[in-house]
Amino acid sequence: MSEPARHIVLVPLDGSQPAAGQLAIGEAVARLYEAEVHVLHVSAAAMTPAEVCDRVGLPEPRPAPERVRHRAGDAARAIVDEARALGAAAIAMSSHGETGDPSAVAGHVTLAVLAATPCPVVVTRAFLDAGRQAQRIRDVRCILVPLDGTKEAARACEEAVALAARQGAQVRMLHVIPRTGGRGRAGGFPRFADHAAYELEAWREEFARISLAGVAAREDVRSDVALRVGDPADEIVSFAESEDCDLVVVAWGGRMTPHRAVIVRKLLTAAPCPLMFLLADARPGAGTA
Amino acid sequence: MDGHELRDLLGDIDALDRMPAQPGFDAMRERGVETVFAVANGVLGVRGALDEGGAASHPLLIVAGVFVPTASEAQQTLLAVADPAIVEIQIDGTRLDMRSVETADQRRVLDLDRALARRAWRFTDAHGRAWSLKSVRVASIAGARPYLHALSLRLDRGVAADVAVRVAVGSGERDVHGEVARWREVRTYEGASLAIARSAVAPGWAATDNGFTCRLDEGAELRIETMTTVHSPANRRADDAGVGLDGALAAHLALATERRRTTRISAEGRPDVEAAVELAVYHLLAASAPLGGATSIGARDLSGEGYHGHIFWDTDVFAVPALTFLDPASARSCLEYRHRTLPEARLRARAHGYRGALFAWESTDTGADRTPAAATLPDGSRIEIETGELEHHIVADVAYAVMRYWEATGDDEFMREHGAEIVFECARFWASRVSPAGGDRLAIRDVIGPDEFHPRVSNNAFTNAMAAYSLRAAAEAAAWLAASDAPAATAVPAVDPPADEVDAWRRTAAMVVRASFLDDEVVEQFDGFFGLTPVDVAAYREAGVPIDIALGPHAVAKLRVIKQADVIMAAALLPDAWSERAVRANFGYYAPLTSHVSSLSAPVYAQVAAWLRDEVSLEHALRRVIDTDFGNGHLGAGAGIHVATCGGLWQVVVFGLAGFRYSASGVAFDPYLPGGMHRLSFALRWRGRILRVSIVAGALDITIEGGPARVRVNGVEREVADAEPARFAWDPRHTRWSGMEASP
Repeated sequence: MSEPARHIVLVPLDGSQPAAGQLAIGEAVARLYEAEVHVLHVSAAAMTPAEVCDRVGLPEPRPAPERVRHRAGDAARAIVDEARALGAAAIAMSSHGETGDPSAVAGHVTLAVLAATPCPVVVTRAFLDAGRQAQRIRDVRCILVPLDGTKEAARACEEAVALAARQGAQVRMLHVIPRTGGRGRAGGFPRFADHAAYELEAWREEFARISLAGVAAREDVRSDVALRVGDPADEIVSFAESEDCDLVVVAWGGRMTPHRAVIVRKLLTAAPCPLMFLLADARPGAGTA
Repeated sequence: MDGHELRDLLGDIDALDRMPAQPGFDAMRERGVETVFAVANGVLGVRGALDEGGAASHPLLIVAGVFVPTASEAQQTLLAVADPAIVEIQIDGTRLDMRSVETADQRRVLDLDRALARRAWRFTDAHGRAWSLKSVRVASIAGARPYLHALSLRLDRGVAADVAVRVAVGSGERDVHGEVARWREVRTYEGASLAIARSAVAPGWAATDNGFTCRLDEGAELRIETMTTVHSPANRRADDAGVGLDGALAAHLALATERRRTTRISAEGRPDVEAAVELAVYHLLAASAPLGGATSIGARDLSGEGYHGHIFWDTDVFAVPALTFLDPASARSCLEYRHRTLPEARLRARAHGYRGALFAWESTDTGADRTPAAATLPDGSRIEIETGELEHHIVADVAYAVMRYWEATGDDEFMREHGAEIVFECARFWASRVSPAGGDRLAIRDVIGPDEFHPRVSNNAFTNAMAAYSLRAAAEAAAWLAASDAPAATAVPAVDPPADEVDAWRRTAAMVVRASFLDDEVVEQFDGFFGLTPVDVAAYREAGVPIDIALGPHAVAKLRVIKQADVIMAAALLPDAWSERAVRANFGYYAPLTSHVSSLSAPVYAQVAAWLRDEVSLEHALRRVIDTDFGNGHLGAGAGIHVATCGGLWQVVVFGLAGFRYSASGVAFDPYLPGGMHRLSFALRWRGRILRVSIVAGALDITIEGGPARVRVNGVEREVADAEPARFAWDPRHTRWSGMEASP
C-alpha cells in the first residue's frame, strides 16, 4: 500500500573509474529521487571514511563522513546488502569496475548486483563520457521503456512514469514485433489483430492502457507507444539513438544464462544513454529481456 | 436472494459458484475482465468496471446504433460515454480504490440465469477497518431496456468513518427528503440522451455540491441505486421511471429466466467448452435485440470500443446463424437492418458500375461504407486499405444470412417484406459483377476474399461459391414468391423479378468458375495461389506473431500463407457443394497454411474438423476459439467481445459437434463428441418450436415443444410428436456427408 521512504542513492566506487564522474552520476540519480548520495566501498580490510575517499580517489569537496560507507566481503553481495539495509531508492554504478573484463557486457559485480538488487539500478556504460551521462540523467526529458505486454514490463513502465512525473519528462513505450517468427515466446502483441494493418492505432491505445493499467492516472505525464518491426534488441538501441532518449528503463528476470537476457546484453554493450534496471519476478518466462 | 428488488441481489454471491467468476484483481487483465463481465441488452452496453473506478478501469456505457464523428481514419465511432453508475467514494478523505486499501477478497460473477453481473469486495482500510462493497448491474431486456445498478458499502468492523460520495449529478435536479436522497438528470449527446434516476440511502447523510456525505458506524451501510434509460433511434420507448427500479428488475428477470430456459448449453465432461460457449451465448444475446432493424451488431458488440462499433460480415455469417436459433426476433432485426441500408447499398453498387446492392464492408448507421481508406504501418509507411472497395463477398454473406434465417424460421412475412428484396438485389449485383472467362464460364475478378493477405485476386473460391449460392438462392426465393398466394410483398418493384431475369440468375450461377467442389481435389484458393512462395507459417503462428505485420503486407501478398479460413470457409457455409473427400483434402492442405491472424478463422476450422472427426485439429482450433476472449486471462477481450467468435463457437457446438442441419421439412443430426465430453445438451428454436437435445455416446434424445417435426439422425428419419421424448441411435463414423443425397 504505502512505499517505504526512499531517500538514499547508493554509489559503489572501487577506484577503477574517475570517482568524480561516478559521483556526479550518482548525484544526478539522487536528484531523480530527491535523495542524497551515499558512497560505498567494498574491500577486505576495514577503512575509515577518509581512507575510502582516498582509496577511490574522490576529489574535494568530499562527502560528509556519514555518507561514506565501507563493507567487507563479496562486492556484489555487500552492495545489495547495504542497499537493502539503507532502504536505498536506487543504486548508481558503472557497467564495468576494477575487475571487469572490458570484452564482457558488464563486470561480474555489476551483473551480480543487477541479478539481486532490491531497488532500481542505474547503470552507465563505462566507455561513455561520464559527464554527458550525468547530464542526461540530470536533465532527463525522454525515458524509453521497452514493452512486451508482460506484468514485468508494466512495472518498468510504472517506475518510468513516476520518474517522468517528478522530472517533467516524456515516456516513450516501445514495442518491437519480431520480423521473423520463432517458436519461443513472442511477447505481448495483443490478440485482437483481425486486421492489424488498420487497427494499429487501436492496438497502440490498448497496449498503452494495458501497460499503464497499474499506474495511477497521470495526466501530467506525456506518453506514447511506438511500434517497430525487427530484432527487438537492435530496435530498442536504434530507437534510443534516433529519438535521443536520456534513460532506458528495463525490468528483467536477473538471469544472464545463454540465450537469455538478449536485450539486457545489447543495452549494456550498445545503449547510447544510461540504463535503469528493475529486477522482475524471476519466475521462468517472466521479464522483458 | 430471489426477490425482485435490486437490493436483494446485493447479498451473498457464493451461491453462484457454478457461474462464470473472476476472483481477485489484476490491473493488467482488468480491461479484458471488464469486457467479459459487461452487461448489455442490444440497446446499451456497460462494461464490468469497478464501481468505484480506478487507474485500470475503463468504465463505459456504449449506446447501440448511435455513431459519432471521429478524427481517425474510421470516420465514425459508436457513442461511448462514462458509466453513470460509477461513483467516487472517499473514506475519511481518502479516495477508495484498489490501491488505497488491502483487499481480503474480491469476486465478480456473471449470473447467466438472470442475465446480470454481481460483485463482492471485502477490504481493510488504512485504519484497520473492515469493509464490504457489493454491487449488481443489470441491462434490462424488458420495457425501455434500462440499465439498473445498485451498490452497497458497509462498515463491517471498526470505528466510525466519514464517507463522501460524488455522484456527478451534473445539471440535473436533486430531490432530497427523509432518509433517501434522489437525483434526476438528463444527459444529452449527439444522437442520444440518457435519463438517469439515482437514489441513495445513508445514515445521517448531508447533501454536498456533487453528492452527499454520511457517517457510517460499525454495521451500517450506504446504498446507491441508479436507473439509466437510453433514448436513441434504436430505443424510442419512454423511460421506465413510472415502473420504478424494482418493477423494471422484475420485468427483466421474468424475460431473462424464460430466455435462459431455451438458450443454455451444457457440455458435461468438458468444462472448458461449456464455460466458453455459455459465455458466448450470453454475449450474443446481450449484443442483440429486436429493434426492427434500427441497428445491428458491431464486431465487438457493446462491451468495448474496438472496431468503432462498425458492423461487418461477422454479424451475418457468424452471429445471425446462431441467433436465428437462440433469439429469432433479434436475428430478424439484424437482417432488417440490412434491408434498411439497401438504399445506400444500391448507391454503392451504382458507384462501382454494378447493379443491385453492394453492402458496406464496414457499416454504421446509414449503411454507407466506413472502411478506413488507409493505415499507417509500424515503420511509418502508409498503405491503402482496399477491403471496403474489394471485399465483395459481403453481398453474398448477407443473402446467405437471409436465406438461412428464412429456412430455419419459416418467417414468410419477413421474406415477403424484406428478405426477398435483399436476396434479389444481391443476385443482381452478382449478375453484373461476373465477367467472361472463356467458353461458357464466368469469372469474378479483382476481389479480396476472406483471406485479406491477398488483395485483388481473381476467382477466389469463397467469393465465387457464395456468389453462385446467392444467385441460386434468389431464383429459389423468386419461385417461392411467384407460387405464393400472398399479395405482392411490397411496393418496391425489385421484389418481383421478371422470369427471364430469374432464369439468367440460374444460368449465371451454373457458369461461375470455382464454385463447386465435388471433385475430391485441392481447390486453388484463387488464380495463381499455388504458385506463391512457400513460408514457414507455423513458426509465426505458434510464436503469436502476426505475419503480415512482421513481414509487411506487400511481402505477405507474395507468400503462400492465408490470414484465415477461406476455402474451408466455403466448406463450412456450403457443405453440400462439397464431397467429404474434397473437404478432407482441402482441410489437410489449407490448415497448415493458415496463420489464424483473424479471430474468424478458428471457429470455422473447428466446425469443419468436427465434421471430419479430426479430433486433433478440432482441439487445436477449439483452444484458439476459447482463448480469443474467454481464456488466456481474458487478455484478448480488452476492446470488446469478438462477437463472431461467440457466434462461431455456438456453431462449432451445434452445427459441428451435434451435426445439426435443418430445412423447411425437418431437422437432422450427425453427432460427434470430442474427447472427455460425455453429454452435450442444448435447446434451440426452430420454426416456432423449441427443440431440446441431449447427446451421449451412441444415443441422441430429443423433445420438441410446439409441434411435431421430422427428425433424422445418421440418416434414420422419423416423425417426433409434440412433447414426446424420442431417442435415436448414432455412430460417429456417420458424417454429415454420409447421407448427402438424402439431405433434408
